[in-house]
Amino acid sequence: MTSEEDLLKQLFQEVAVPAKVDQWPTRVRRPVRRQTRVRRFTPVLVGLLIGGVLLTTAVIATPRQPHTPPGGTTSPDTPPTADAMAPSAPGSSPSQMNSKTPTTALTTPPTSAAWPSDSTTGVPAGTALRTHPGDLRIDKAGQVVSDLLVTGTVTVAAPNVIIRRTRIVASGQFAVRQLPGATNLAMEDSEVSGKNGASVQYGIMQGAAGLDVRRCHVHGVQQGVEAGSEARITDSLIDRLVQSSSTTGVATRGGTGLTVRHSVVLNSTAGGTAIAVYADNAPQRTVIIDSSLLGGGRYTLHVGAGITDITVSGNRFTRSNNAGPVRWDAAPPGNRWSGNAWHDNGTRLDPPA
Amino acid sequence: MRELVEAVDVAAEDLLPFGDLYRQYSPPVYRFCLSQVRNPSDAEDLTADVFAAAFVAYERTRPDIDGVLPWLLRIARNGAIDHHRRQATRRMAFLRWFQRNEPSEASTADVEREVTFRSELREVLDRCQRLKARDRTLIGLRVAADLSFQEVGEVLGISEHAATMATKRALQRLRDLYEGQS
Repeated sequence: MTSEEDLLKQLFQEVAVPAKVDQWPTRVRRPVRRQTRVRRFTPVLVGLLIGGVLLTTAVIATPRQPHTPPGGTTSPDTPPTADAMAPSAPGSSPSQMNSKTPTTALTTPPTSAAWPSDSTTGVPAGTALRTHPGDLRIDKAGQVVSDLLVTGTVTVAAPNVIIRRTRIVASGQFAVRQLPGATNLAMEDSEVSGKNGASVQYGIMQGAAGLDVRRCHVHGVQQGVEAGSEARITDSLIDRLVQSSSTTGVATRGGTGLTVRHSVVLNSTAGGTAIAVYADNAPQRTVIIDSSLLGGGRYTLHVGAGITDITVSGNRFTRSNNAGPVRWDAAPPGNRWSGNAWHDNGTRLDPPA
Repeated sequence: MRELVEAVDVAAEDLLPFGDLYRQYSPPVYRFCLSQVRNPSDAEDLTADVFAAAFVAYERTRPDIDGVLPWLLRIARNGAIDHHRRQATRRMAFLRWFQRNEPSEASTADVEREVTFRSELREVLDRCQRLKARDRTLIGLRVAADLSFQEVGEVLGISEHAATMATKRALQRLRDLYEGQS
């Protein structure tokens, strides 16, 4: 903190609350008695509603005659529109963020019972790993690195690299760092972690468009994945994060296209978030968080202001957050919330207000 | 996995009685309101409105103990925005009907109350009014309400890093006003 800030704070600290503020209870708005008016019009509204439903049913039930143009030939059926042909979004038909859904138990669990775990992510048991001591730099395009134990930072400096069945135990700022220009990095069946006692800030730092993380286990770092554009995290486990001022499982601060699907993201530290979607550095568009188990953090999911086109569907939230399951500052349009539920009892989780 | 999920599950804490909440948080909320509207009388009104609105929503919202102040300040921020909007509308109406600016909004009573502030604080408040609304909000949250950068970010819906940078820039612009650079 600067001394100027200190000085300004001191100036404000000297200000006492005036007694007039104590009169706030007189400003509490009493509920307005509108019920009588509503009751007066209720029978009319119900009548109109029933009439409308009957009319609509009658119209639908009436067999449609093929349209015959003046020339006498029958016109072909109108082809379905693109909207009608498009598959529905994951979970169910997406509802807009402002829609209200009743709090009821779901009849169908929204997500798979088999969550990614220690046994389904990371290096498969029995894989023989060769050790690469210290940092590893990959600068050959299309290179496949597999069956390695790397005891340092992996820096990816070339496009189309694949890291497979590799355990990375880092002690620097990054465990895996994708440099600008090193597009389309894929990581499969790998484990990314910080060395015991080390303060590794980033598990995977995306620095170029295109990052695929499949069946990976990221743990022991302050921030699991710092995502950018075209990032996909599937069937992966991000947990056992290290306490810091902003611990986060998956964070993005601008870009297009982040998908977190069928993954487990848990932040068991007191602060931060499990998934943070911000537009700090650039506009953030097209985010899909689907069929995943999310938990912990101050807010488990924090969607900042200025995000457009985000779909949050079919996820389960644990009750381990400190402030709430979701903090949502983004405004519609284009934002969808559907089929999300509490993890412990499957009760539907309403869209954030 | 089940053990892991259970390990991070914690029981929700009971709500703080609203009276205690008011006693604990009315100073930072009032100071924030003062930083936003400058006029002590308006700040009192705004603060009272904040707690009245908070009282109505408290049971429904159930903010956790660490999130109470950011929650109150979000209400206060919205109140301040509404206040400035109303002021602008009133000024426009006054101009339209009387073809002149409305008289100074500070009444005698306000002036008497203002002199109880240190002159330095009055100057800070005056200069804050010359800042853009966002900068004024950032400075109000950080300096008047004494929030951490994380809490500032929480009120504004931005990350801690973005809150830190934006607040520093806002403080620099306030400093520039002092130095006559803008």
